[in-house]
Amino acid sequence: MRKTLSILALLAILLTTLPASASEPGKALNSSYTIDYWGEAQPAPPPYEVEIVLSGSSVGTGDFSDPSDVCFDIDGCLYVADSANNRIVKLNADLSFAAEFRDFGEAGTLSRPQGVFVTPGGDIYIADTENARIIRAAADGTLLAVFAAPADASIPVGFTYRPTRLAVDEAGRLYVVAAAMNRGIIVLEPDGGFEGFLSAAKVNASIADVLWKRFSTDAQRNRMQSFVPTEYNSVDIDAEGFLYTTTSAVQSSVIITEITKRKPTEKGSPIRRLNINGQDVLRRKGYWPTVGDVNIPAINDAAATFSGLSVFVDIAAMENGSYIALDNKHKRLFCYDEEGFLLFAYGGLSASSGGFNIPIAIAVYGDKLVVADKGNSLLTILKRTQYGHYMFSAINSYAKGEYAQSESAWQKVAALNANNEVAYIGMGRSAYRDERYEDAMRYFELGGNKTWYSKAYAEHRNVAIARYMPWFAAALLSLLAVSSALQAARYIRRVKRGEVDD
Amino acid sequence: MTSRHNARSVIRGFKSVSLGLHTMTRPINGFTVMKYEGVGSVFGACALACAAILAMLINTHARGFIFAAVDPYSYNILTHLSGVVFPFAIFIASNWCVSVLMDGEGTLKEIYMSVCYALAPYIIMSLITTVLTHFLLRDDAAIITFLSWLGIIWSGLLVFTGNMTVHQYTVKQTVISLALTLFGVCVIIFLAILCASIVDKIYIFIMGIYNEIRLRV
Repeated sequence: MRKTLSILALLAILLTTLPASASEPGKALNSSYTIDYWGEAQPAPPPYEVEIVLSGSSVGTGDFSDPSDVCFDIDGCLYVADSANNRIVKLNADLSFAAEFRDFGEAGTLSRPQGVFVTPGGDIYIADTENARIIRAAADGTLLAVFAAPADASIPVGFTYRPTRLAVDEAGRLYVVAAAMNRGIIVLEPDGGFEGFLSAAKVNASIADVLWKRFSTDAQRNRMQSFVPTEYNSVDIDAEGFLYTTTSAVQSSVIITEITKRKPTEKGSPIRRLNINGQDVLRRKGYWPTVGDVNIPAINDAAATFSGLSVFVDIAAMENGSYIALDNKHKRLFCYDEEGFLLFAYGGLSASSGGFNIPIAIAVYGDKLVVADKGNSLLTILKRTQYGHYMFSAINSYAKGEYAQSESAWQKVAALNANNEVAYIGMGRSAYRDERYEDAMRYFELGGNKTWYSKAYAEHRNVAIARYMPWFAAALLSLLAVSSALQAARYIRRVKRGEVDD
Repeated sequence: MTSRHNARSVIRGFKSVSLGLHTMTRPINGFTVMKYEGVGSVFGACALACAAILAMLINTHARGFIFAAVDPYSYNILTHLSGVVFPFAIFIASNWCVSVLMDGEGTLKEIYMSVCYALAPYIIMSLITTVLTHFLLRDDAAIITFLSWLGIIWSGLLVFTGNMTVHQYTVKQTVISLALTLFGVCVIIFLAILCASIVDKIYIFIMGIYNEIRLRV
């Protein structure tokens, strides 16, 4: 009786340890957050704040209508592709109106230009979408060249060429994103000749595919695609000549699989970093794939205030390999560092309308960020806060090899946001380079990074073994010596007693 | 109770637990001694079973940072425990049922004791790997996997040997008996689920009648 009572009491105690409920998905998160190792969104201080919201009339020209692209030049002047007004507006660095470009003499006027890009030399490249051409103009608007639709056997017959976004590298090559083109980014030579496609993701052949290819005829083989058709929607180029692209054409089932398995690959990534050969070299070493929001409530949950995956429409390269992407669906900015860690997710609030309507383009210049909104035809100029400034200066110091400065900058970041795991990882990496391995281990544990913790521990273990090995070896040897001495003594005693033949 | 009686029962208890260690290296001798000479006791078997549960929990929670695998948002200790305790109990019940059909000589108490005494390698390997996870790198994960599997396979072999000794089967009979035991486990689980769903339906039926009467009358 007593036994059964005590067993029941134990069961009762165990049953009170009921599981805690997980945080609720589906609640819209305002402003600023990061996604931690467990996939939970943790609020964070805003890395940018709204400096000013511009409409066309506030800068002294007609209102913008459907501003599709923005670009900074090397002096900080802002160019806006005001597509429904068929013009490119240039604003000075102090955001006063400088000029507008619509008429290019013998080339005619623009027709719904959706893309603009300014090279460091000052040349303006305009994607004149409905006229199916790209216009190259000098800084004052004089026409330099017109690049018509490329003609090549590999372009599908009947394809309407509508260039929407573009980027230009140091050599003058143009990388053009054309609407409804799924073979990749069109690469044009500096004189406008068609160079090729910067290909979409390669198909990874399974064994079944390889076998089938062996037995198929030439005609069948020609029809088999060697790439996954992807329609890109934006392109940007960084200081080293790598292209950042976004696509909204990745299958959501692939993305969700990669999120749940935490194994990001190129196939399930809406953001890609392409090298000259078209290979994706984006580092995806972060805790989660670079897909934006990962704490997805049930995709079919109509009651959730936000649901579904992020849809990226524009990307801008920032300093030191980091990049920031604009999520049109959740109206947020996602910034990743060069390793693929999420630095911040920021759903900035436009001062006048309380939120982005249809954000369509971003551009970055130093610590300024511009978001162009198609819905309310406004430009939101954002400036880095102290928090954002500390983060980027820490990354910058680390890239330059100034590990002590990097560590102290990350410490300031952690003081403002104790949940920022990237800050702890940054501190840990700086301590690691500085050969302070125990500090590094402590930081990596705070940041939840097992890979780096293992690296720091390996070094620490080597140091500890080197320091304690002499003592350990001495102890072991003395133990062996004592035990052999005892065994020898025992043997001699047995011989003396005559139990063992000599 | 005299003090001599207490001392003897302490020694007996200690011996019944140390039978587990003896069985680890000398299985057939250990199980024979357990069955015919009454060396082990249910107390020792229970002590080893508790030690195995503790070792499993320690292995889950006390690992070093590099190998820690517990999700704090969704971990439920009851789920984890019942995933171990219930299969264990069902296996023993099923084994006893099958031994009745195959003319085994083991009683339920002997089956339970033999399975519990087979757990010693698992306990030791769990504790060793838990300690090792604090001192190994990510690249050395293969050592941890190897040692864990060594413990499990060793315990599995001891369960096999224990079953063979307790029921006095030949090797072929033991293999058949264990296969039938696993099949019996599936049958028991299926019947349990069936029972649960029928009881649930009866409950819904009765509650439906009760609510109808309450709301209409």
